[in-house]
Amino acid sequence: MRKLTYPALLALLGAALLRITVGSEIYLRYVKESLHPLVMLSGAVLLGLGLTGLARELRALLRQPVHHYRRDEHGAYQVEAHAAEHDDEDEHGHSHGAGPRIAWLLGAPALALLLFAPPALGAYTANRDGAAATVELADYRELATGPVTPMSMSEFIGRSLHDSGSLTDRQVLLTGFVTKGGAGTDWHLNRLTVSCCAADARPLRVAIHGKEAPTLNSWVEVTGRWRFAQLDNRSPVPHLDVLEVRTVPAPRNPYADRAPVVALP
Amino acid sequence: MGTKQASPPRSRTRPAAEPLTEQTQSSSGWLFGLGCAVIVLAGTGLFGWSDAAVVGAWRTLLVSIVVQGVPFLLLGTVVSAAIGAFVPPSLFARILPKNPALAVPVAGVAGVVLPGCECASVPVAGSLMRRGVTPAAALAFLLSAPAVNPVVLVSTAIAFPGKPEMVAARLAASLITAITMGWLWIRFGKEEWLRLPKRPESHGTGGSRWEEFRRGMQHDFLHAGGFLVVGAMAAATFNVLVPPGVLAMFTDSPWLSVPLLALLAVLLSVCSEADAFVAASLTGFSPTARLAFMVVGPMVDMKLIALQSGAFGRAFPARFASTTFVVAILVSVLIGAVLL
Repeated sequence: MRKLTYPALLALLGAALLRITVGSEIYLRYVKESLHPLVMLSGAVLLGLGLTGLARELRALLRQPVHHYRRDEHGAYQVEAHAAEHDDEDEHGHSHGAGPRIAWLLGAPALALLLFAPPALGAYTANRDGAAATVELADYRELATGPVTPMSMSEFIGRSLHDSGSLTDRQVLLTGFVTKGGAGTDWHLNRLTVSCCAADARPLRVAIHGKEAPTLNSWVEVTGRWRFAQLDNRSPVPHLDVLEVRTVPAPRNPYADRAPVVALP
Repeated sequence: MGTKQASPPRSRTRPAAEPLTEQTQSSSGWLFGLGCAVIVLAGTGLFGWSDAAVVGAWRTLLVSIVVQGVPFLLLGTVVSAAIGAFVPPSLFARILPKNPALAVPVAGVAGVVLPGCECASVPVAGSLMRRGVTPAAALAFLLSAPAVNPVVLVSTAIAFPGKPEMVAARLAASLITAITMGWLWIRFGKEEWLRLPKRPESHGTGGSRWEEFRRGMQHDFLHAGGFLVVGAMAAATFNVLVPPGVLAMFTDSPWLSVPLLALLAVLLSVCSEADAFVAASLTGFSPTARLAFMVVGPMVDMKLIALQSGAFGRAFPARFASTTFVVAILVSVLIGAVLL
């Protein structure tokens, strides 16, 4: 029976990867969007590999006489014709063809994905220890004139650092999730940006003044004015005087720092 | 397996060293995983992380690293199983120079062809060794492949806009480190430090090539996948335990910052496609320290240590990974002084 479990593990992991990529965007909680085809393809390959293995092992199991599977003290059956099938050696930690015992560990993430799919990183990661990622100088375009300018968090932080003149006397619209504030601020608006998978998430943060903090970890859109403050270049947290706060649903990709889309009236 | 068929009465007594090692390895993997879980749980209790947020973050990180690593691990095992099933051993003997000292740089540069992250390179290096490639050359390939492939170089260029010298420095330092390690292996390495686990090769009876391919892949993927989970648990643990603010304390000392960022690269185990972005965000540090982060990361990290101990035996990374760590730092400092 043991040799059935290894192809079953492959199939389980394959099914888990398909579950988060086919007809679902759960994978965006864990990896960048461009990995989608790769994750989906590996899910299909693993499921196929696992099912093929299961079919083959089952067929072999059904074809063989029952006594072949009974353990023999002297290993007498091992030398019979079915040499390719005798891999029930796992009790000694040594396996042929089936798989090693450490493979069982793969069952944990597979089951986690299938059963409850852990949520995206959020307030805990963004808020620990107060460090915020910095934003390198980019080529900032002249901002369009209009009552309110939607902006990504990184652009807002980048402009606060390198081109704060472009922010004065201007209302901006930012989106992010809410965490508790530090000293002297009411609360923080945060984003996590990811380059490959959630393990490299870097927090972007803006300190918010002027409105009550919404529910922690909820997603909001804020409209406000940039407030002058000395920024630490290594860990910049610009300040924003907020005029309006609106709760919004979590974005499709929680780690993509994009400017909020404004519905035209 | 051949020996077992030849001497059936003794096959129950497991006299060989090999099964024992593999068992010790997998139980050490279990213990390691258990240890990490205990650290997190203890941390939850001791440091007053009252809510389960830290456990939730740990879980998400673990799953993320596995989801990100599996496609590349699968690519690696497909290539490695294909090498095992379809490539005749004579091929590599013909391609690579006979002299191991020359084969090492050739294999190091050949690392350019395997795209993606470091998960793919370990199984491929293992199958190269099984196919008769001299270990020194296979190890140079193992180290260079995740660091010098085009995907990684392009992402480095994107992460450091306007600083092409960073890409050049990364390429140079990674190649030099990989080749140096290959040559060091020729000079000092011993065959017995490498323990290649037996694969279900040529079953003799009734095994078609495709069946061999399927079994090889199943075994390789499950084996490496288990170790990937161990590495992911370790990396997720450090990720939630190391507060980012700790780093800022060391930014002012150039002598401390280089080994510190190198160590951080080991602990965080960011995949080689993404580490340039993380390095770019570590603005307080000198360019050389960030270079060391990007050179060490793809060669030595928790994921790789786990995968290597799975592929080559537990004793292997203790010697190889620690030496690579030191060599990579020295080369980074040297290249950093010249190019950055």
